[in-house]
Amino acid sequence: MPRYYFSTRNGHTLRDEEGDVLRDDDAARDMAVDILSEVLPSQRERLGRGGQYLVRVSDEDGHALYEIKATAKRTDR
Amino acid sequence: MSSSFQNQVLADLRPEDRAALEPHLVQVILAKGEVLTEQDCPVDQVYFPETADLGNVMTFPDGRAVETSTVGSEGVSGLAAFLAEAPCTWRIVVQIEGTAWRLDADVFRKQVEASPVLLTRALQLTHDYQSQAAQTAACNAIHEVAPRLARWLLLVQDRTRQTEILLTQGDIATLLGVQRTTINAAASELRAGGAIEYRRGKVRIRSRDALEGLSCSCYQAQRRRSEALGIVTDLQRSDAAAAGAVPA
Repeated sequence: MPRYYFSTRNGHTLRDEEGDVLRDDDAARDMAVDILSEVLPSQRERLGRGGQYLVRVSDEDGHALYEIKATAKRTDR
Repeated sequence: MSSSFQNQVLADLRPEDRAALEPHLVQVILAKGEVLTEQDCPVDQVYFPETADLGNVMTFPDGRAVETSTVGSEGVSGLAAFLAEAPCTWRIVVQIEGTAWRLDADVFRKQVEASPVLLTRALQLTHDYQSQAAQTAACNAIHEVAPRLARWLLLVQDRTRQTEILLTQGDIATLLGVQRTTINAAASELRAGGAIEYRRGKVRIRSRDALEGLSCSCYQAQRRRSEALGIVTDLQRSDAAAAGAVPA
């Protein structure tokens, strides 16, 4: 089974040097969604300031496969 | 046979309880990951950790396993199930390797029945573990991961006295019921706060004060409750002595 790497970015990038061995790309995407939902509560302030939080999934060759991200913006002005 | 126990339950035994139990105690070295009692199985033996730290872990059919409470040098494993003569609600697994004393549950039960003082102690510990599990359930539901990680590291250090905790981020993630990368992000927050350093497979606590500052209120809440019952670890005892000491 392939190994996937999950880096996160909220202004600075936190690289993943370990990776997780998972069944397939879909399982890796699901895990990235879990990560985003688990970390997001700690990013309220950053999102409130117009920042974003991003989880990127890469394969063993370093190719980016998915980006799951959260942003917050006012829509009435 | 050791004359002074690092385990607080054994160290606090009255002479008659000690005389009854000591011949049956077996010192064991517990390896990380070793399952001492399986979930839904009877408690045949109880363990009094000294340097080891045990996790009470709920397992799920999909293979996931989340820690509900920990047992270290302050106490004894499998207590609630043992007292109720019921199967263990959780899996008891070694999370930090180290030493412990093992005792046949029947021997312990017989002495608990014979000694009101020992029974009181067992009930206080059971209450404390129940309270810890309730605190953890509530904490997991509402607190962010970094404060939970800080609390968890403090709990482990209280019990093991270790500054370096030999667990991978994957191990910690499993115990806290989150993804490994989430622990990486939380550890990065604690590191930025000057509380810890970490490398693969190892977390080093740099500053307990910083860690307490970054922990959720659950750590102090539980510690106050335990201390009120006289349930403290070696480290907490020396902490309290240091805090109460008059500076020269």
